Amino acid sequence: MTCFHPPFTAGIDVGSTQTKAVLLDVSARIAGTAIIDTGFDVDAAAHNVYARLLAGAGLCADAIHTVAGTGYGRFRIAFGDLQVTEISCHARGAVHLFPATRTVLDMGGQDTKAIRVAADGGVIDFSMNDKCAAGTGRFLSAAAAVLEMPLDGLAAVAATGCNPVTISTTCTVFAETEILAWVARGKAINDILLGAHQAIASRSLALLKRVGLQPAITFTGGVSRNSCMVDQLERLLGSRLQVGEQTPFAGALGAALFARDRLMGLQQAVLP
Amino acid sequence: MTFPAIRAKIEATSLLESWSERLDQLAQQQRTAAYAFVMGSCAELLAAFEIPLFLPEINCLQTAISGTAQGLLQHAEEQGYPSDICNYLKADVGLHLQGRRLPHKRLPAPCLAIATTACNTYIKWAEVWQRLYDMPLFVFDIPGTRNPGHPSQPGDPAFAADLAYMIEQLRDLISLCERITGRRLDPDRLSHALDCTNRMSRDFNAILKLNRQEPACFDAVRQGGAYLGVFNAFRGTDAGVRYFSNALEELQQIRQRCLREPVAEAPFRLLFAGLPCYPLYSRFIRMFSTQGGLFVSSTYLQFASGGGCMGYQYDTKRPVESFAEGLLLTTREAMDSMFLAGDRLFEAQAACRADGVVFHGVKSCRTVSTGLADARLALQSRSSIPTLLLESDMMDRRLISPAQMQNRIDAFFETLRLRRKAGAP
Ligand code: SF4
Repeated sequence: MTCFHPPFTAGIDVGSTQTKAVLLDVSARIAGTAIIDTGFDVDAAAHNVYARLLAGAGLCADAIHTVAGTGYGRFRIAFGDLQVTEISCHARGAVHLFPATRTVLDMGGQDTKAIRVAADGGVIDFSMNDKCAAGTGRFLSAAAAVLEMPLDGLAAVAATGCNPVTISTTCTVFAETEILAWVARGKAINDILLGAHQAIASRSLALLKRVGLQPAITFTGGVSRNSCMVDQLERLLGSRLQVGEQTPFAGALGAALFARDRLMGLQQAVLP
Repeated sequence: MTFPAIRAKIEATSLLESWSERLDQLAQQQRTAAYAFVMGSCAELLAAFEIPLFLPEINCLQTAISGTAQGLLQHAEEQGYPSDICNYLKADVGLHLQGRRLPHKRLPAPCLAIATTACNTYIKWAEVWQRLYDMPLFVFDIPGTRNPGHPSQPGDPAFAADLAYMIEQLRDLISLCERITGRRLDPDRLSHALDCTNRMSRDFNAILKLNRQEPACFDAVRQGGAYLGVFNAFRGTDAGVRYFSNALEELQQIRQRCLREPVAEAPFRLLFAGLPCYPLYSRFIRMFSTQGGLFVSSTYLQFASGGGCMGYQYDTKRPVESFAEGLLLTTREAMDSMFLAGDRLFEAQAACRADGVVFHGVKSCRTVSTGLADARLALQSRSSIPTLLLESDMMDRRLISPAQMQNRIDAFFETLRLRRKAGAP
């Protein structure tokens, strides 16, 4: 089958928890997105999300000029034409979505990054906590698991809390024990969850300070969907965050933009 | 960016092997050695008394490179040594607890230990030997810089007081060495050792200066490590003098060749701050070199040479006083290069025309690593030069995550390329 479309480009962000894909048309408009759980088979996740992206847009693979991979599994995308780190991709994607962005907070399933960016989306500095899961989405997954609640429902429950508990440990492993201890002491679930959100937000603030807090700050990554986390971060920062429906896809979007550079014949400045 | 295996690197390997063989022989003959640390080793004084020198830090890093460190660390941990102390100390304790035996060598027991206050761990570490062997321990109290950024200099009253204090301590150490060996200090022998170190130090300093210009002619982490090893283990010796003289000559030739045959794409010139990742030594350097990075300078060479690379020249006509003065100035320099890194890195990156600065903090050496993140912020407040902060360890593989390290390095090079394309200076 041959497709007769102006060429598109795609970005695939293989994260530790979810794999996301973005399709861009020649004018750099988002023509489609897809998201699936990564699971244990990284290769399959990349294939499946790409297939879903194409099906959603009614395209065949021939219509895609370049596919760029990012995320920790970027080198496992067999059909990828180029690979760029998620740090450069989140920076580029965030500035594309919100051109005033000068700092990006990307909170994913296993790591959180603070990135200082230039107006053109180039990375000036970054700091990440990838050694331990404290302050990442994994912390929330652990809370959800121990409280036997769906991850997606945490934010709504936490937002009803009035007297947040203090989660003193920053280690995900010990946080589970601490959450259980609060349950045993009869604390309300919403207050416990609000405390967990606050603990992560304060860790993220420390990370942001390491790169310098230049406004405007854009919140990207899977956890940017969590409205309670947005509220807590805004409270600590004392300013609004730039966040939207597409921010969880910022990494894949950035990758698609690097792919588009190739389509447009632009030099791949970040690549060797 | 890589350089062909240079002669000085090969010679360093064989010199350090001969150093290990000598220690092995001493152990076999039930003879002893003085244990000392690289910051303030007093190698020249020991050479004058013909007391063999053992440098446990160098031995420890060799075990990390050769892959034997993990077992030593585990051995010490099984005896109750905690996971968050200096892993040089812990591996060394593991070694002593298993009878000072490594797969291909044995080590002599100590007859004396010399430590300085350049690192707190030095004293605690030497106290472990003292408990195990009941030998004398001499601790040099080095007066530090009391006005940060403005250390007292020869000619200042404050310096004169510090020097008098150093000379007193040195006289005590000389008496101790005389008691141990049963012979008086021969000033001529000390002068000769100091003269050797003068020449080594002068050439070492000239080598480091070569890389300030473009094109750079050696990697300051890879080849720099070889220079450092020889400088520490052979200071005060004729073999050390020959080595550094040859190394300088070789680099001058390499530089001429680099000028005649320039590479198509200039490397990214990097300044390294912190300690190397010895368990992944070559791989760590390759993570940079394969992306076009070259370490043109390294703060490690300053503190791990005990300030010896600064080119200090002893006055061989008054060996005792000058030795005390050199010990004060060079060890203080080593301490300042760690503790005042924030102030110094700005000048250092400008001097070597760096495109980026790589900070490598290691979990188990707090002396060097504690201030690295702050030093980075201090540098960033004065300069827009890209920086990268990596965290791992210099001994313990369990604290190293190569994939995460690679990811950060990839992102750093993406930034460097972007800047170069945008015409960054
Ligand atoms: S703490 Fe650092 S400086 Fe001190 S002995 Fe250990 S490695 Fe050396």
